[in-house]
Amino acid sequence: MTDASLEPRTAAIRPPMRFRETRRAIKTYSRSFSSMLGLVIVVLFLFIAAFGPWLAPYPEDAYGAVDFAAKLLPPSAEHWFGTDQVGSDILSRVLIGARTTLQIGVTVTGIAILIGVPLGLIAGMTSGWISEVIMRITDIFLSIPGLILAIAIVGALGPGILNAMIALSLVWWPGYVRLVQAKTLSERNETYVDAARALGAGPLRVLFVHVLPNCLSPIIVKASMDMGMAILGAASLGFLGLGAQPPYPEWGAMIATGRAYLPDWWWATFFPGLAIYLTVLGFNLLGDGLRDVFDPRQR
Amino acid sequence: MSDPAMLAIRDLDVHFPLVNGQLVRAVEKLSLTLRAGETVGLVGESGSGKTTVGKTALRLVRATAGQIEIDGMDVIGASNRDLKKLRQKAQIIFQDPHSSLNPRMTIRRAVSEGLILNTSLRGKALRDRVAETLDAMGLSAQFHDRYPHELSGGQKQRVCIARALVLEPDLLVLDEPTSALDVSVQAQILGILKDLRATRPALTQLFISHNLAVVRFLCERVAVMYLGRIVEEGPVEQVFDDPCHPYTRALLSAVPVPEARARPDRMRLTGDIPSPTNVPKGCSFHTRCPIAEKGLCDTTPPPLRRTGEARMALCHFAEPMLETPAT
Amino acid sequence: MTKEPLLDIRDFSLVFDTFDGTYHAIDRVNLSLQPGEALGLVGETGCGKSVLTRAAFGLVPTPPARITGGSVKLAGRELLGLSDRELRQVRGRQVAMIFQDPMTYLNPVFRIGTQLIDAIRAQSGGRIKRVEAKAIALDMLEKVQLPNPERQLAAYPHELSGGMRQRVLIAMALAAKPRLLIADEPTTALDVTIQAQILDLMAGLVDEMGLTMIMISHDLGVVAQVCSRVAVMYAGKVVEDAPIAQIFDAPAHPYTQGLLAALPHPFRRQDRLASIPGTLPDLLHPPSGCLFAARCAQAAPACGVPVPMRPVGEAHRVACTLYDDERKKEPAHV
Repeated sequence: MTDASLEPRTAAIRPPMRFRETRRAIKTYSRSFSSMLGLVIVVLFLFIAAFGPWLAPYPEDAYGAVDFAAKLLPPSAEHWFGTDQVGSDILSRVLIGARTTLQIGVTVTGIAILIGVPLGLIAGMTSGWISEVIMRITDIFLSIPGLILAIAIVGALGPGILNAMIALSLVWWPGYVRLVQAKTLSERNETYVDAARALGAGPLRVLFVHVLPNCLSPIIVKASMDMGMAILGAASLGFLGLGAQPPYPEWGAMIATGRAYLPDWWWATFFPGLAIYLTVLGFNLLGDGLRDVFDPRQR
Repeated sequence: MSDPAMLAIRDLDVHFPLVNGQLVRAVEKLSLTLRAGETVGLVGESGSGKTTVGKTALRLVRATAGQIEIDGMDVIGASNRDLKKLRQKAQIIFQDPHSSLNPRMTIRRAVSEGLILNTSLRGKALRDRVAETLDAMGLSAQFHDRYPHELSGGQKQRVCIARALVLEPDLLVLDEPTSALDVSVQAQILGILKDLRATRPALTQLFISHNLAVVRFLCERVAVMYLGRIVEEGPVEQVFDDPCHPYTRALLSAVPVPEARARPDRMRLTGDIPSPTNVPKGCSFHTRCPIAEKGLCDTTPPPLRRTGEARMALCHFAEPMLETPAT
Repeated sequence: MTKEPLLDIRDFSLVFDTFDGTYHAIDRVNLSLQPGEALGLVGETGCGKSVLTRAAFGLVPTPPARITGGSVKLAGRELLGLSDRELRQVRGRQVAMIFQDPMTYLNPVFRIGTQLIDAIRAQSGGRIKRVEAKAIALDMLEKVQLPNPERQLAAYPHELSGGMRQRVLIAMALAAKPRLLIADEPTTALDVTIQAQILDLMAGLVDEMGLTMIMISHDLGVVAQVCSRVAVMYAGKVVEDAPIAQIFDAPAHPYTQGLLAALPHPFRRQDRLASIPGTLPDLLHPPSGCLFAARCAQAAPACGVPVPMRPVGEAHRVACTLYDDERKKEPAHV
């Protein structure tokens, strides 16, 4: 048979398939305004997190420099975001605080993934008591509101930025277990897993070569959304005085301190709040956009 | 039986318990032997257990009772080491080529996987072997680094065939390999499979299908399943031209024939296939059988009768072959 | 043509605006159907057979689809350009449809009877009382030969088998006494013996009730059981339109010939099946001439320009240059 003729004639004029896929993904993503907005915000945030200390006009203000002569100045050309109750430049503190915020987001999401994904895979691939135990523990965690549990944990460990991160990580992983277990269960029953087993693939190979790569897209999507949520969580702890302690430049803690000066000196809370709002929004929009790209129905 | 048996299934039972306590009797007391080099069709409707037989033969599904041997090797009790040898000997191709390829693997990787797992072939030798096999399936080099979703259904099924054949198996189980494909693509795949009989005469194929026309085209022998049992077995042409079991007759007359004039000898079954959780007593076909006799078929399981040279039927009314001395 | 056709599709074209460009799904299709006729619409995946019938009755969302021309007349009334409400009325009362997977079209949480009765009352615009609707429902279930119709009314969809569900859907479709039934692969999901039952039922409905029907299928054998005429579609075009006997005995279009030669026959010994080389044309950039030319062994330069349908026999039309007067001179092997 002249099987070579079976290829579509158009195949030759198409660009190489891999680039085509990437281009399609980029196009799908960029088609949505909100996704692009999310991406811009996140990129800006990452840039600030990386270069904040150099961008800040008064970097020393971020670490407790006190200048009572300049306290509670409204936004002006000199202090774009105004100054706080000890005369520190709020813009500088917000810019430098971005790095802390990023650290919190990455750490919390990272630890949650490191705990949740393996547990989810194990629960999905095994049946019987192991999976039962994992899933019931997960259920118990999911049944308690995360922030309340985190507050309790910080209460036990003592306030502080590190403890806040630990507490948030400990309440964040059950979501990943649920997600990965469900995805693993459905992937496990795909025919290609049967095919791999027929070729002699053992359970570990099935798990790491066949199942895990196909679970990655939802994990990435959830992770990008969770970045925002973890930042919000840390800010909440900071606001409650359980996270970063003033004068450490953390947005939640800044709001907590500035709260006492509302409404007259609104800028002390408004700008850190805006920063949190935009960052969380950015990560959520990014996650939405990624979900559109990864959604298999698009294919 | 002078030829060695490549696949021997004896008294196989496969039961699945359901959550509600019922038992699905997918396969019941099934025996089937494939001689080396033979192509045998296993036909039946949904719920007949034909797919389960194929999967159990490769131990993708656990048997409840019975024996399965592939080239003399025990399948059901095989140790992990023996299983590895078995995997190389016996391969399976599934119905839906789309879902049987990992969407995140290029087809080159998909075809390499079996070799990496089962042979010491690596590097260039491996790549050459994979390329050669894919080429033989009509997939030229430009396809080798593509992902499954970039291929058409027919191309994907060729990849699946290549993935199975690259291990040079002795036994190939084909589970409805063309039923998800269009007619013209099906013809191409059937052509490839039929060519295998010439290019690899030692390859034994168990072809599972609900499509009788395809079985007629491809197979030498056919076994008809109904509710987990083989009700008729024999050479394809004899079974199709002169079926002994009423179910086979009904099945054959239900096939839509691509001809303008309807056949006059139509035989229609009434009612539906009973659920395999609730297999009728006696002959499992008696609820739909036009010639069933009260007091016999609904109480007594029918005997397996030899109805001809290498032919068998599971029916009270099948006429046994007259034992005439061979001339 | 003396009688007015019940359905008359003229030069119907439809495109999908996709991410990669404009996809020419249906290109200038002509199809007409006399009352009482059963037409089989046959073609492979992606040929546009389902899209055509759905789009004609407003069931394809626009966008992404866009109807670029033509007309669809049902009993003389133009359907293109009707409002959604008017189209819904056409679909409820004049045109009924059944689909491949009956389960998708039955609501799993309501009893069969409730759904049937509600459908019958909705089709009548609420003028029929519940009791009357139930009587009609029972009558319809008997017509579609559902065993124990009284009992099935109280059953939930999952308690019925696939074949029984399809019977219920046929009953539901026919309850409004539609002028036209569109059956889209009605037996593809069913087993062979059940398929045979449903096909017998449909053939009976056509013969006895004078039902007008379009049956969409990928299987020429299935269509042959029910239909008297077949239209073969390829890449968004009808390439051949002929009485069923002509299609099997004297297929005119090379694609139809290829399709038939690729079909395995259950009662004949075949050593080889002819396969059609090549794949479907890229409908994002369709060639201007015959879409099958690239795969056709008998293609000629004349195939490079649009090839309209031409008659080749009694009620037999084909879109192929082989039957041009100029080309007939050269001996072409069919």
